[in-house]
Amino acid sequence: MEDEQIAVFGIADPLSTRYGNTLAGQFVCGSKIALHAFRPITASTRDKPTDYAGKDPVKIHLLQPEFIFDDPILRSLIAEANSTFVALQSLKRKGSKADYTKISRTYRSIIRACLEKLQDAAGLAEEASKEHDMYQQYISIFYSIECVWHLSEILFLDQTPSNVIVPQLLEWVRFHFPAAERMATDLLLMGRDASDSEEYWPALKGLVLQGQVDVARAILQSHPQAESAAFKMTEQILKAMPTFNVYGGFSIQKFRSQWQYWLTDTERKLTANILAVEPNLEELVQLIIGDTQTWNAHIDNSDYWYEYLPGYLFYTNPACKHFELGTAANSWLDRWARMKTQQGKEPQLKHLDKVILSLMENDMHQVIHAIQLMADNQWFVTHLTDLLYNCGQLQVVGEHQMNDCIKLRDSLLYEFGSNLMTRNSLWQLGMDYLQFCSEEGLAALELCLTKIPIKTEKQAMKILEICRKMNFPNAEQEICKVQAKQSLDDERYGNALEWAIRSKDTLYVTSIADFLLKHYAKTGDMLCPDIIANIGAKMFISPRLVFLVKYFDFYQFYRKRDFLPAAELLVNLLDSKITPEYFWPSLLIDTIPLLESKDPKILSKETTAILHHLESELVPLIEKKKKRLEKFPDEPVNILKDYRIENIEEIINLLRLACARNLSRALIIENTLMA
Amino acid sequence: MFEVESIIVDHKDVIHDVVFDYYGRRMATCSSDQTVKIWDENEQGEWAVTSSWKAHSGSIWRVSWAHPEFGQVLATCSFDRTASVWEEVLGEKVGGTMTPARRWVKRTILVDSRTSVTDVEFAPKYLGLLLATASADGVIRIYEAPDIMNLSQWSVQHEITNKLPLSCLSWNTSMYMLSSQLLAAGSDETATATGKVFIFAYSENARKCVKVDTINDITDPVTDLAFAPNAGRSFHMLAVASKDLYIVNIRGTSDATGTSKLDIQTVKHTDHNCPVWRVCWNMFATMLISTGDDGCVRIWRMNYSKKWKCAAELKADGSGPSYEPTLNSPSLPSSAATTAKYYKKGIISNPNQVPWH
Repeated sequence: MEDEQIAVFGIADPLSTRYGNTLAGQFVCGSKIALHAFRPITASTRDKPTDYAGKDPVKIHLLQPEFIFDDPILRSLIAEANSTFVALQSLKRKGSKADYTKISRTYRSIIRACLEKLQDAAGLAEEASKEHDMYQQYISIFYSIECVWHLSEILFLDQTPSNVIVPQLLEWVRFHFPAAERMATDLLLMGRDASDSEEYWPALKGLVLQGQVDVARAILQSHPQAESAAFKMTEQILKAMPTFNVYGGFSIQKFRSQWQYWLTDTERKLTANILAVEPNLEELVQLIIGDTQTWNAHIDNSDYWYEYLPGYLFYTNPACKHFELGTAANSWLDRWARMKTQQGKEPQLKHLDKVILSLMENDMHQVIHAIQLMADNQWFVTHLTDLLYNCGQLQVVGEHQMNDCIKLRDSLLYEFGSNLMTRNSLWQLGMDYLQFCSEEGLAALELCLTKIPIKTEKQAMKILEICRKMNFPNAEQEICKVQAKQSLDDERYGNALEWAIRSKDTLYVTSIADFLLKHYAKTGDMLCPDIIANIGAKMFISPRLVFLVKYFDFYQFYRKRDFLPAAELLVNLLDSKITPEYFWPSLLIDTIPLLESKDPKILSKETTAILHHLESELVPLIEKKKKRLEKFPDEPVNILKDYRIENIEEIINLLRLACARNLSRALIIENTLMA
Repeated sequence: MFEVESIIVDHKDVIHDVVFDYYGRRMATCSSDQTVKIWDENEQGEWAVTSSWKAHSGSIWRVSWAHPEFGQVLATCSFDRTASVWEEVLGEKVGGTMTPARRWVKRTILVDSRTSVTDVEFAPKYLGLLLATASADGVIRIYEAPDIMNLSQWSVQHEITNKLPLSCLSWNTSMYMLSSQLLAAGSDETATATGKVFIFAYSENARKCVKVDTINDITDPVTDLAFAPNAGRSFHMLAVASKDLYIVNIRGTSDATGTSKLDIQTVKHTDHNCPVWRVCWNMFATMLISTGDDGCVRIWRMNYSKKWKCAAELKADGSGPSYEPTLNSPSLPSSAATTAKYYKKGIISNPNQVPWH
C-alpha cells in the first residue's frame, strides 16, 4: 500500500501554543472527538500552578464529523434504502440475476426520488442561502452516486449474454445527458414549424452523438425541405446504415463487412460533395461515419470526457465488449485530453470522472476506494459493495488473494451500521447493518444497545424487547440494572425494585432488598409497600427478597391487628434461616408486643423456639461484635450500628422476660384446654 | 470535515483529563487547579457545567466514571497522594415544587499510597465495583466496595508492588476467555532499558493478582496505555503511548499441558516521530486517537484487513480562529488501499462542477 496524503485539520487554541502546540484527544461516543490543550506531566513534575494559569482561557473543542442524514429528505432516503437492504439480505446470495437487477433499480429509484425532493427543496430555499447551498451540495453528491450506480448496474449486474455493452452505455448517457432528447421531444411536437427553432440543428447533432439515429431521421422528415435532394440523400444514407444487433442473427464478421460496404459508399458520396449545400446535414453524416475532425470539434464543446464515448463506440466499435471497454475508454480519454489541451484548457479530471474511468477499467479496488470519498457518510459504498457482494460480482483481490471480499463488505457494514447506531434518531436503522455482518457486528450491536441513552420507561421497554428478540441477555440485564440504580438514586424505590427483579440478577435484587430492609430497620418506615405486596412468585429470585416479602406480610397482618397469623408468620421467619444478620434485632423486637399480649398469640412451642433463636443467633452475634469492639475500639460495627450496645442488652433482657411471661401464660392455657 | 463546538471550561489551569460517561452525555474534567467539573449535554447538544468542586489539594491527574449500574460515581487521583470516590446524590429539597438539586459527595478517600497516585480506573462491571490505582512508587492497589449500595466502604483486595514507578493502568473490559481478567500498567521510568508495560491477572492458585507478563519490546518510558473495548474480537488490543505509538495484540493461548500463556505481538507506529502522551480508543475499537509531542493528534483507523493506518491529523493552530483544513487536497492514489477518508469532506472539491442536467 502506498502512502496517501493524510487530511490535516487546524484547531485554534491559544493555550496549547504555550505547551508546544500540544493537544490531547478523546473519543466521546461514536466518532465525536474532544480536544484540549495538553501539558505533559510526570510524577517528578513539580506540582505548582503553571505560568499561564488563569491567563489563557482553557477550552475543550468538540469535533463531530459532518453527518448528512439528519436532514429529513436524506433521512427518508436512508430509511427506504434500509428496507431494500434487508430485502436483499433475505435473498441469501441465492437470487437470480433478475432479482439483483430489480434490487439495484429499486436503490436507484430511491436515489432518483430523493434527488427530485432535493431539487424541490433547493428551489424553495432562498437563492444563495445556507440552506440552498446545502441542498445543492446534496444534489451533487447524490447525482454522482446515481450516475456511478447506473453504470455499475450496466457493467456488473445487467450484463447481456454476449457481453456487448454499447446499447446500454448509450442508454446511460441519454439518461444523464438528456438535453438532446428533451429538445427532440419539443421539436416533434412542433411538427412542420420545428425547423424554425434555434434548437433544430443542435438537437439533431445531440441525438446523433448519442446514437439515436431513428429519432434524428424522424425530425429530419419534419423539415420543410425534406423532399429536397440533400435531405433525401441523407435519409437514404441513414436508412441504409446497418445496425449491430446481438439478437439480429448476424455474425459480427458479416456485420463488419456490411458496415464497411456502407461506409465506403457514404464516404464516396461525401467526397462527391453531394451534401455540400447543407453543411448541417453533412456534419451529421460525418459524425455517423466517425469522421475524426467532426468528432474532435464536438469534443471541444463537451465538459465531460465520457459524454460522447458511447456514441462514438456505437459508430466505430458497436460490438465492444466489457473487457475491451477499459482500453477504449482510455484512448478516448487521451483524445479528449489532447483536444482540451490544444484548446488551451487544462483537462482536469474531477472525482466523478475518475470513478467512471475506474469503473470502465474494471478496477474495483480503485472504485471502492474512490466512492468512499463521496461525502455521503459511506452510504453509497456500503450499499453498492454489499449488492455486488451478494450477487457475486465483487472482485477484490487483497493481499492474501482470498476472502477479502467478505471482509471488505463486512467492515463497511460494520462501520456504517455502528455510525448510525450512535446517532440518537437512527439507531434502529443501524441495527440491520450490524445484524448482517459477522459476529463482530452482533457484538457491536449488543454494545450499542446498552449505550442508547434511555429517557423514558417506554423507551427502555422497547430496547429490552429488541434485546430479547436478539437474544442478548447480558445487555438486557445491564439495561435493567442501570434503570434500577437510576430509580433508586431518584428515590423511586418501587421502580428500582421492579427493575432489579426484571434484571434477574440475584445479587442486584438482594442488594436492593437489603437497602429496603435496612431502611425499615433504621426508620420503621416501609418503602414502596404497593410494589412489595404484588411481587408474588417473582420473589424467589433472591432469598433476601423472599424474606422481605414475607416480612412485609407479617407487617401487614400486624397492622391489621390480625395477630394470630402474624405470630405464625413471624415464627416461621425466625425458623427460616434466611434472616439477614442485620435484621435479627429488628425481627426479635417485633416479637415483644406479641409475646406481651394479655391473651397469648404465640404457643409455648413457638415461644421456646423464639427463645432458642435469641440465645443461639442474636446473643452470639452480639458477643462476637463485642469482642471485636474490644479488639478494635475505633472500628464501626455494622450490625449494631443503629443500636447502642447498652440498648441491645436491655432489649435482650426485655425479650427474655417477655418470652418467660408468654411461656407461662401459654403453658397455663394450653394445659387448661387439654385438660 | 468537522463541525466544531468550543467550550470555555473555566478551569483556572490546564486540564489533565477529560472523560465521558458510558453514554457520552456527561463529561468530567480535572485540572491543575485542583477542581473537578461535571458537564451535562442537553437535548440541543449544548454542554453546560452542572457541578464544580475542589476535589484535592494537588493537581488532579485522572478521573474515571464507574459503570452507570453503580450509579453516578466518579473516582479521581491526585498529586496529593490520594484517590477519592465521589457520588452524585439528590440534594435536600429546596422549596416545595423545585426539583431538588443534585450534588456530588465524597464517599471515600483512599490514602494508602505514599506517593502521587498517577492513575485510577474502575474495573469492568462484571468484576463488581472495583477500582484500581497506580502510584509513582510502583504499587497497584485494587479496592473493592463489597456493598454496591454503600460506597463509603472500600477495602484493598490486592496490592501488587512493582520495582518501577507506574504512570498509568488500564483494565481489560473483554470477557473473552479466561485470559480476560487482565490489567495492564505502564512505567515512565527513564533510567533502565527494561520492558515498561506489565500485564497482571488474577491467579486462582495464589488467590491474588500477579504479574503474568512484561512487554519487553517497549523499553522507553510509557505515559499512557489503554485496552481496546472488545466487541466480538477473539484477541485483545492494547494501545501504548511511549516514545512511539504501539498497538499490542494479545492472544491467550494454552499449551498441551493446559497452562495458559500470552502470545504478544507488538506493532510500532512511528508517524509521530516523537513521544506520544496519550491514547484513546473509540467505543468499537475501530479508531484510535494518539496525542504526540509533535503537536499532532492523530486519528487512526483499522482497515478491513485489521491493519492500522493514520487517517487524519488534528493540529493546534494558535494564530487564527479558522477551523478550515489547512491542507485538504485530495489525491487519488493508484494504491488499492481502502482506508476510508472518514474525516475528509467530500472530495468533490467544487460541487457545482458536478454535472446536473
